[in-house]
Amino acid sequence: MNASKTVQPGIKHAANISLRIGIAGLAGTLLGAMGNMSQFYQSYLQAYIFWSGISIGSLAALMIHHLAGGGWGFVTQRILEASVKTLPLVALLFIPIILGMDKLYHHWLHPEAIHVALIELKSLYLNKNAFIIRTVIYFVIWIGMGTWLCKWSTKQDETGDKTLNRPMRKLSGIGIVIYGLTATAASWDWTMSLEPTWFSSIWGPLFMVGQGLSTFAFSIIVLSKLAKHNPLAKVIKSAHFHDLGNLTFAFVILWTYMTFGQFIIIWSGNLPEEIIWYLDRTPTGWKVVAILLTVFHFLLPFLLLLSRLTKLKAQYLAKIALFVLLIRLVDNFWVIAPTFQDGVNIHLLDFTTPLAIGGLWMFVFLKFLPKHSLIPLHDPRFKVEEDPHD
Amino acid sequence: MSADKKIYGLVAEFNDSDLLIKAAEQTQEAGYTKTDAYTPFPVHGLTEALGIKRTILPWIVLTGGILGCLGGFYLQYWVSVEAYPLNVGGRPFNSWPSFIPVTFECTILGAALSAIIGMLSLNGLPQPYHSIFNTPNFERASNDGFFLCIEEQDPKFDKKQTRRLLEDLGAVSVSEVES
Repeated sequence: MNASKTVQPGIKHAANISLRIGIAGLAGTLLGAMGNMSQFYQSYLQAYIFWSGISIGSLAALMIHHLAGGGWGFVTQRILEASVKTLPLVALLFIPIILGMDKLYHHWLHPEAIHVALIELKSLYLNKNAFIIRTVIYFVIWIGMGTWLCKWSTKQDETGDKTLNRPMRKLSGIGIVIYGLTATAASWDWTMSLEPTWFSSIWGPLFMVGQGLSTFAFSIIVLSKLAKHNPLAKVIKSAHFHDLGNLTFAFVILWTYMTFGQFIIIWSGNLPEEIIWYLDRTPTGWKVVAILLTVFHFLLPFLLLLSRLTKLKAQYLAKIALFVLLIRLVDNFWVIAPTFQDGVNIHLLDFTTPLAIGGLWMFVFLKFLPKHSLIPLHDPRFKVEEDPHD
Repeated sequence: MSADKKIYGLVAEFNDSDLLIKAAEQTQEAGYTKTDAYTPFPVHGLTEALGIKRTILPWIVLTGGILGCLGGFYLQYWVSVEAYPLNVGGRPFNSWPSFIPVTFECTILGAALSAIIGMLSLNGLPQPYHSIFNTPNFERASNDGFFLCIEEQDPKFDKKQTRRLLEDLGAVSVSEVES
């Protein structure tokens, strides 16, 4: 146990820095918001979708780990659990979005004002109360499942009870299905409804793939820092980074596949109610962002992660992962901002809100992270993984 | 009698994988380069002990993939823009989004074909005859025998010295294998 002490001061230091960044970001956000509330809500939604994606994606990754095992899961389990524990904070951070609904979702909030029959028909689902109630339900479900999984995992550390893997696996089996349904519904509510006449059946999976990609990229960065110290230094192998790199690689491809699949179906169909989403996102300035996404969200990470060398070396992989995380923010910008602005206007708030939410989020994450051993202590499957024969 | 017969190399049989790895390391240290080992199961660390270089197959596959990608795209471009332009729903002839799925498939095809063909040719397959099967007892390589072969082609090969080296390394038997 004294081995894990070596990593504690570093985590504490990082938590303090995060808090400072968060406060600085918050101050900048408040200053910016005073002059321009609608810009604030738009930037806030972008930042919120990004950071909430890591928490919610971590829940899904944790459940996949309980179901599938694999070396990558054991070394990232505690990172994912700490990230899942930030879900109550993420739920609280949703309040400004409810306050800003009039600005963010005014298209469907007041269908009578614009007289679009299609939106009026949808008002049974898309109305203020239903939106809030659904979001509350999502968070109750996610926090509930996350709390149980973390509780059993902590209990196994304390008691060494090997039978606890059973309930974790059972909950994860049902949970991964529930996650798929709730995250899909959340993607309709939070982002697809920004253009209320538009619909895409792959929007939910695309939303989840984005969350998964952010989660793996984030886990790689944190793991590369923790891996230098005990207890992780004792068990970590380059093969673990190779696995995580392959997962990131797969999610980069999956994101590309779904993004392009959605585009080509809508492009070839060429129906007015579908192409409106792309007509908003491909005039001059936004086209540049779309091309940048093709190059930096797909081509560059794809080529870099193709090689074994970059995946085996923690420091290279962490740099690629950081780049992927940043480009996820750009992707959220491209998905959300064109609803509110015709040209590409990058506002100061687009930078301060991710820092404000991110600083707070990281602070809470780093407070939870050192509470327990950084590797599962009594997971019977982990022992198998340590077998040198492998 | 056997003096005028061409030999393939000297093959030593070992009783376990640890001895084989040690032997492989020692022969590599002694400067032998044309060596190979035969074992009933994949032995961890043997590739390194033999000093076998990493295969260039990934680069062949990458090249095949890139060629498939460019070729697939150009084929469609040539057909729809140059050879037989058709107006489809008023879209431009060079409607690149619709070329992407086929381009993707051609990339996979190019990569897969070059992987198979590259693997076979790098391995020298198919090969109906191989001298190593003249080794006495060689069927045990798929049961419990561990074999190390030093080829006659090796510049350092010397019938007497090589035999002594292999025997010193703990070989159960060392046999001269006909080519």
